[in-house]
Amino acid sequence: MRQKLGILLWSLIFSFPFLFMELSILLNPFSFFPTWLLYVLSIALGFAIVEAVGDFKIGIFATVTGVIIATVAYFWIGKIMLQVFGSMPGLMATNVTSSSIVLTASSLYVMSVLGNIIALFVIGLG
Amino acid sequence: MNLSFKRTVFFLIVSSALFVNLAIQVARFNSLTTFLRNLKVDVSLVNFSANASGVDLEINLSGTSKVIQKQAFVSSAQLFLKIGSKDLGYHRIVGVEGLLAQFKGKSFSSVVNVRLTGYEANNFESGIGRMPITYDGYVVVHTFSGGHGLRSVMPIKGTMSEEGM
Repeated sequence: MRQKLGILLWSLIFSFPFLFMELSILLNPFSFFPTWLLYVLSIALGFAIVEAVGDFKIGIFATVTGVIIATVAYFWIGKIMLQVFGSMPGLMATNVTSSSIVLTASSLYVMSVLGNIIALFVIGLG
Repeated sequence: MNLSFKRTVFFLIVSSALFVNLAIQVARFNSLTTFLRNLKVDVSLVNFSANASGVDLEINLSGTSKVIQKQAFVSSAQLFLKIGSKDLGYHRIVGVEGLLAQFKGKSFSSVVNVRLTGYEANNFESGIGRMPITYDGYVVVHTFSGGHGLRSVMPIKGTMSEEGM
């Protein structure tokens, strides 16, 4: 029970920076970081979650659940923004379409898993 | 699964970097929407000359916003003109090399030429000075931020003022 709560908590902790990253991609016309840096930071985030949890298995599970929580939040934030602003810059409107959300989330997730695996080699199973 | 602060430092650094980037983006997005919301476009008739083949209108297209936006341009405008209730046609105004005007500070100004021929010219000549010219259409505003160009379409509508005529 305590472990389940821990996993849930770590998933929520992971979902926040992941959501920031997805929203950075949504607002990419205004980004301060170049887009490639966001993908690099995604690898760093995958590494950092395993390092912070100190357990590879919980870390990789927190990554999956965190991505799902963040992506569902991104979906609704995107849909609400599209409703509120009506006409937004074309690039942003493209970024909130369902297919773009899935592509963004899955490519960032793959990068995070790469970070998880790097952490497995560097830190070990924990 | 024992938590130590030392191990979470890297996670916190990455998270805060992402948060700062997002905050910058939201601020930039907000500044663009404020700029566009406060942009008031004004269209005025500066001069016109009639000859046998038609009427040439010189129109001043200008706009002012309350906030400064760096690197903002107007690339084109579409105007649907009417004099009284009579049609003066639909005119697509494009600038030289795709650029109509650049914002200087908070405002832009550009003098463009519109040519009326046929029944449009007849409508204009019979109505000028007696009926107001109304316009309806949009201007295309381009802004550059963070390495991307953004195209925004601003609808405009109103009565043309006749400057110096």
